Amino acid sequence: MTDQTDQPSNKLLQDILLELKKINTQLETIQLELQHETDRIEEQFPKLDIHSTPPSSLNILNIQEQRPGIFKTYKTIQKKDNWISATDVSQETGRSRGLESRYLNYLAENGFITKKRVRLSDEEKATAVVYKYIEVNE
Amino acid sequence: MQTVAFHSYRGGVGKTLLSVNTAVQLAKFGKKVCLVDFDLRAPSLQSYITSESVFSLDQNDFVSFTEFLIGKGSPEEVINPTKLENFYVVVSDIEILQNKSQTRSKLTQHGEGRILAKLFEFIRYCNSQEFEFLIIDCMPGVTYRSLDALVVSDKIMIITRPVKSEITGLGLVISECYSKLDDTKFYAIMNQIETIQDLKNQPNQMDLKIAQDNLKGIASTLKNNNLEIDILHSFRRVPFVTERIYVLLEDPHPFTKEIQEFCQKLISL
Ligand SMILES: Nc1ncnc2c1ncn2[C@@H]1O[C@H](COP(=O)(O)OP(=O)(O)OP(=O)(O)O)[C@@H](O)[C@H]1O
Ligand SMILES: [Mg+2]
Repeated sequence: MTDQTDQPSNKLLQDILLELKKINTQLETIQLELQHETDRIEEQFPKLDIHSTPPSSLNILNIQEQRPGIFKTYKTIQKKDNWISATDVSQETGRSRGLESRYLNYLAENGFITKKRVRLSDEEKATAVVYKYIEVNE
Repeated sequence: MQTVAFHSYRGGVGKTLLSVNTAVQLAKFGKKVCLVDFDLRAPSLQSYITSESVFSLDQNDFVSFTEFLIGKGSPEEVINPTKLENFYVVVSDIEILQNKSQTRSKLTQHGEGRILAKLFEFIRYCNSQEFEFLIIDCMPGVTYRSLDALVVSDKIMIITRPVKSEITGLGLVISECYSKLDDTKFYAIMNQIETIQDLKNQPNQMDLKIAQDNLKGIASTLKNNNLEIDILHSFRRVPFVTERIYVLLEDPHPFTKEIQEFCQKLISL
């Protein structure tokens, strides 16, 4: 008896779930688009500032004083030719990914390095954050 | 690749003599070496290099490192191969010292951070060319340019002589500068040490005592800080040493043996 009364509500619930899933997919797409847009803007604007005044060695000594150990993270990025992730940095430094991630974001926020979000593959939605030294325009 | 800077608190302690001879000796030991004159205040590598015929480099062969630093030359253009296998040199321009130097005004316009960024770009390039050692001859003391060289280096050779004025300076440069360069390895090199023979011939007891106290002073300054810097090598004061690359001489010079020993230590660090 319960089965019979549950049938329509079950169907309804399934429909709702399906709709919710669709909404979720759409939200994920929007979120991704937004993230890409934010990254694009972030990349453009601090860059203008950064390009006119890249950090000097004194700035680097100061930041090391504020965050002891951050110099190692900074140097790892400066010596790599390509974009790398916090995991790559942590493999180089032998320190935890969490710590490197915090340091990398702090460096990026303060104009010491650049940061961007990349799609891991064309089909998948998964993204990763990668970092690189600041290009100096002549 | 190992980036090794030769630095000192005071000028005239032997950075250039030691770095040039070390770089050439490392190349003779089969290491691929790039030697950079980063003393933009008083560049002197060019005169060392052009006076040695083995390199067969001419005064006019060079594109100065300063050109690269201001964005006018590529790393490839400033790295000069020499006739000695594995040995490459980068020289800086004397022009920077001249009164109406265009390079100098460009360097200042360029901003402090840009020079550092270019220096890192240079290091990335050398890395891609599979150099094993990048030897940097620095400007002494604490200036923006010497700090740049220290920031990019993996290992720093601190050259000191056992004289009073360098003991205080050494303490200062350790606490104000070296100790902030986390992840950099520091080694002390004593230069121009008097031999026991020389000291025995020293008739003045006062001078002898001062010389011994200074040696102790350097040693305790190196130990009494959080870096605990070891003395990697002590070079004797060799009489009649001039600005030459002794390790190139056919007949071994007393200085050559010391440089060879030092290079062996450097390689095994
Ligand atoms: N072990 C030594 N024995 C004898 N003379 C030496 C020794 N080391 C260096 N000298 C001499 O001391 C002088 C200064 O050396 P050098 O130019 O290498 O110093 P530096 O630290 O590069 O100076 P600067 O700071 O002006 O660039 C040179 O004439 C050099 O030949
Ligand atoms: Mg010199």
